[in-house]
Amino acid sequence: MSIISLQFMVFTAGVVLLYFTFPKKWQWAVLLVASAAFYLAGGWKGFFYILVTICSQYMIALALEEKNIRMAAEMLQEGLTSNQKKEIKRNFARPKRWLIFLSVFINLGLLFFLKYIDLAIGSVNSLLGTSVRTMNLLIPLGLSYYTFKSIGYVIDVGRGRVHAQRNIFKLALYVSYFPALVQGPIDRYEDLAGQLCAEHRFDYQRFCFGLQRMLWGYMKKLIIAERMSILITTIQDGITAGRYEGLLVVFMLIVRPIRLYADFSGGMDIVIGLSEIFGISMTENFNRPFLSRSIAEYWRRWHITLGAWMGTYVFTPISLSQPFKKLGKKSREILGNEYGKAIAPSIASFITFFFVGMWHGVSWGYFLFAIYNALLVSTATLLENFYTQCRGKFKVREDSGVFRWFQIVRTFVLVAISSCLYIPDMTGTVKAIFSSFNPWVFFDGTLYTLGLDRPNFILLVLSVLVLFTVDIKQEKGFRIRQTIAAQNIILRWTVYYAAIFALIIFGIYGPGYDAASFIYQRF
Amino acid sequence: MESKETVKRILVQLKKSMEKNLESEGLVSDGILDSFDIISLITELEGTFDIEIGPEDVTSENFESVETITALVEKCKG
Repeated sequence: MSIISLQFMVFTAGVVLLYFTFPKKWQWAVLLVASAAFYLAGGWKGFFYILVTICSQYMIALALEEKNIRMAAEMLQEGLTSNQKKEIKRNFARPKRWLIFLSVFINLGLLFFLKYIDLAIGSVNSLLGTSVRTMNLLIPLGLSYYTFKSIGYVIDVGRGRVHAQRNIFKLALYVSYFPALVQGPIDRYEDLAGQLCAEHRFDYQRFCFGLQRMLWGYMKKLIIAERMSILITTIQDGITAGRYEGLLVVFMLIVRPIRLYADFSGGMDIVIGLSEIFGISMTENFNRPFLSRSIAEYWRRWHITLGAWMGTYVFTPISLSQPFKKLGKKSREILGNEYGKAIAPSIASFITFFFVGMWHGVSWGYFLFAIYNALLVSTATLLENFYTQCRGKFKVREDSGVFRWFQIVRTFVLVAISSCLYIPDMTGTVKAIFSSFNPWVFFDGTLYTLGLDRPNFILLVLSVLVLFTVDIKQEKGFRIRQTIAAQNIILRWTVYYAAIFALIIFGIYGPGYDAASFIYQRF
Repeated sequence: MESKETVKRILVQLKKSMEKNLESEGLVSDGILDSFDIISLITELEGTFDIEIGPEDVTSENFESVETITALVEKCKG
């Protein structure tokens, strides 16, 4: 069930109604049943896999909790020296590591098997000339999102950060909470689980705010992202057919990241808005990423929950492992503190980006994506002092508006190049860029032949301007929903109706048009 | 008190711009310390104080200010 379908809207309306009419202590059960129904609507086969994850993680977390309790009891003995305490910790660390390994092995193993087995078979066939049949396995809905969430939960239990959930149904709700199942966010257990099981009263203002957020998400997806998809597909097909080259290709490369932003952040607005109606506050997944002043900042603002997950469970453990600590020490001895300090984290950063790339897909493009981003992030640290000196030499004021916008545009260009690396026909696309140079394509009406006529194109440009104006306003601390809520009833409802009618009239959906599913849904 | 001064010294050695940010209470949330800095800082703290800081201790809250970093060091000392 797509979250932009009428079916989903009717389904969620029913769930909201049941949620607030059921006794409050059973509200979590309503969400669990709704999540199961949502999952089953996508087919019963995928249900088996999510059950494997829930059951395995439930049992492993309980085993870890039992180890934590025993360790805490031993640490409480009187008269222990700090070395003896360290020894007790070490004794328990080993079996806990094995349990966490088991959790990762089962669940990440399942994810890799389901996602990549056919790719592996295909590669073996083409390398060895064999004809092993691909398995065409069903990839369960939200596979990577619920896998990451549940692994994070188990590791947090192992680290003693949260207690294991003893009610398997409550754990099942955390893993399968339906709004976040399709494309995240990957909320940590400590942030979400308590809210899911808490009792919530109906709050009219929260209800309105939630609806507004959902409406904004639908507008981003159906008015902006869908129109941009038409442009991108037309140009990409045109490149393959040799019809489009030069600046039109550059134009497509600029549109691609904006389409992804409108699509993914629009989906998040729908998810977060719906949760807000239930009284559940989910972690924001975007923080106006295109206003970032560096690539490192961009990665802190884009797909925040995945970045945080990778940082917590991949980058940090690798960086703090003994071999990396030794490497860090050695490189500082050889290269000095300024440059040496970045070597070990740079390698850990590459491994992390490699995992992010692998998560998106297995191809040379994603491998390049990992190298490119790790290099950008590392060099920013390595050359930090050099950049500071240059700014001083050229008397560049860091806080000046011109310099800030220069950094923002530069970061956007770097992001656009990054998204070009995993384009299906990268070599052909790059060749097409340099095949010609004709700036007149932007003025001679060519733009209106790319699948959108003139009014639709102008509407798209205006919508993108609105999107970025809202982002800039929010960056400056302007709270749009609160401002609207503070207006008189006529003005307030004029805004609401304008937004609803804009969506109905300008949204791309309905019979005869198959709105694309969310891009991040397939991950 | 002694630990706090040592933490300050390490931070400044690690990053020159820290001199003017030692009083900040948002070292991580304001982007003054990034993940690379935190890893380097941990290595320095471990060597200086003979402690072990595990991945479970690497939370933004623990590195937000000189005070929270000092508190982490004291906790790890046991």
